[in-house]
Amino acid sequence: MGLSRRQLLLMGGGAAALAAVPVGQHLAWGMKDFTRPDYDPNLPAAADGETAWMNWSGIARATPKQMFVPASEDELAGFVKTATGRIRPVGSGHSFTGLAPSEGSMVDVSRISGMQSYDASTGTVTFGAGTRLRQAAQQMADIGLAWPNQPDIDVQTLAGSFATGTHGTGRNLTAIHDQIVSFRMITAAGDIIEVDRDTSPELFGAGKVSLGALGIVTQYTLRMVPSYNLRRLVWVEKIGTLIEKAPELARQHRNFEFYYFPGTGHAAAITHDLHDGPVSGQATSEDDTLLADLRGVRDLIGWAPWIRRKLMEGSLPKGVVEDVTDESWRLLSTTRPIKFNEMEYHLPEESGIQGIRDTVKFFDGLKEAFFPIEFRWTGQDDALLSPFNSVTKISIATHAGVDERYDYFFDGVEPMHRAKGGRPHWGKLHSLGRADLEALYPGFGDFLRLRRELDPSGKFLNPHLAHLFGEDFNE
Amino acid sequence: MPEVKKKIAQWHAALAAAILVAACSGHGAPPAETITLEPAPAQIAYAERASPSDATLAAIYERSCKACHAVNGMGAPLTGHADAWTLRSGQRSMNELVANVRNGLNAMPAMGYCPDCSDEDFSALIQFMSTEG
Repeated sequence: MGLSRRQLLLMGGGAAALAAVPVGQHLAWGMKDFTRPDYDPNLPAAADGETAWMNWSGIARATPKQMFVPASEDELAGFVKTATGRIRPVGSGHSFTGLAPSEGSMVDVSRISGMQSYDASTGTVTFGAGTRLRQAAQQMADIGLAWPNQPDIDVQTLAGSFATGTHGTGRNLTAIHDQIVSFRMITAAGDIIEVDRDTSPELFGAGKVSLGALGIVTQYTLRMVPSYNLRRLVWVEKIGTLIEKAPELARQHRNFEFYYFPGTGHAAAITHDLHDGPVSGQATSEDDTLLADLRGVRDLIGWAPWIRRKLMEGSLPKGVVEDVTDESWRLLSTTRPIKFNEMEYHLPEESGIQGIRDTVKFFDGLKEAFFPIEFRWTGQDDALLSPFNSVTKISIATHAGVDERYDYFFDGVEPMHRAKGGRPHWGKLHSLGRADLEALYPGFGDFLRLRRELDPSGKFLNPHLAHLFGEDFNE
Repeated sequence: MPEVKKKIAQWHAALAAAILVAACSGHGAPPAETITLEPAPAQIAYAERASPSDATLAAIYERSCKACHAVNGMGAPLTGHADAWTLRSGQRSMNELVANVRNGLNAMPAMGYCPDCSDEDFSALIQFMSTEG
């Protein structure tokens, strides 16, 4: 992001202010341990014959009897056909919700990966479903094609990211599953079926964002766009004025988002727009350094909100801090070097601005908060369980350090978003069940019916999915 | 209460560092813990294209390691940037490095996106990635 530790800690008057504050409060805050009691960075203990698994952040955990990594679609179809226990497909483990864990079998399709064919005349490309987003972007760059948009993180598999409604930012751009032209899927019966809009429209609409509950997808054909370059601008601005300008910025720019730094009154805004001509390349990401700094300022002075705000006002760089050009796939995504847990809700555009105001206020009142709040825009699509189905959405993502508590997501943040008609990101923390989801998704009942038809014995269920679908679940 | 003393010491050290940095008005070297080695353009270009010669290993590398180790700025040491690997791994043995992959380290998830990899696979991949390109 280009904000260096050095820039952040240019304290100026802040250092003098520190000398004048009550020592007792300093010390009490300094002794505070932010680690949540149930934090465990280690894999779960697995008995003989089991495999230990946990998601990227470590809060979703399982000890399946088998972690099956098929070499081919046929091998996987045979496995599913003869399996008697439960099976869950797993992608890259970047969901925070319990979509992937299974105490039966888990299937990782990442060996079924890479570009399989393409048609330059139509811009369609066929990939194995285990292809990671970045791998797809790199391979397409070689043939002159690109994703129209990308999410922040791009190590997820196609199957995992599509199944959870993963998205980038851009008011006139759609979530990445909207690129799907057709897919191949192994049903609970072990049959391999080909699905597209014309021959099986209902399954096509349900299967794009499927939570991995309808079958195991092995291949996608996607419609892409010719390669393009982008110009990225990053600037720091006071949150109040930035929120006021946000709707206009979202209309003006191809991609617009911002990160608010809790307790500081300031945000970093990021735009990407099409760029013609030679590219500059980009500087090394300093996101990790910035996060360490924000955490450090929280640790140091979080007990005194006004000092923290003054400190940051004096130390954050002002105006444009980054102006670079590069190929689209190099700019739109980054790997997150610092682990976290996250809740993200997608709010209707008309209530999203009030949504971010309320979220900023809530986090400014939470002295321990330091992880940036992310604010994005996504255009509507027609997948049955897409959070963006029929409505343009503003997405508000809140994070907590991987080792810190996040109970306030559920007690404080989620009720604010739900009151505004928000839908949760399927892969990020939420507490909703069947009745809530039926009220949010007009097509939820259709999805449930289709799922029961395809998987009457619940082969692809686990406790989390059973909760979402209102099904009984016995081991 | 050694924990309390440790916290106080950490707090004082952090405050001292912050004031020191402020006093430097932004000039001079960054604090030691933030030092990373910036690869040369040739090293970045190598990392984007390199792949193990062994076909089985190359397939794993393409689907598992490459997303983070082949593009600069991801926080992971680049393939072929030997000095960055040395800086990260320090005195750790290969067994310890393999254990880091198995359990996950920093942003790298447990098993490094390769749930079917053996310790021998991890060892060979680390060897490939940490060897100067």
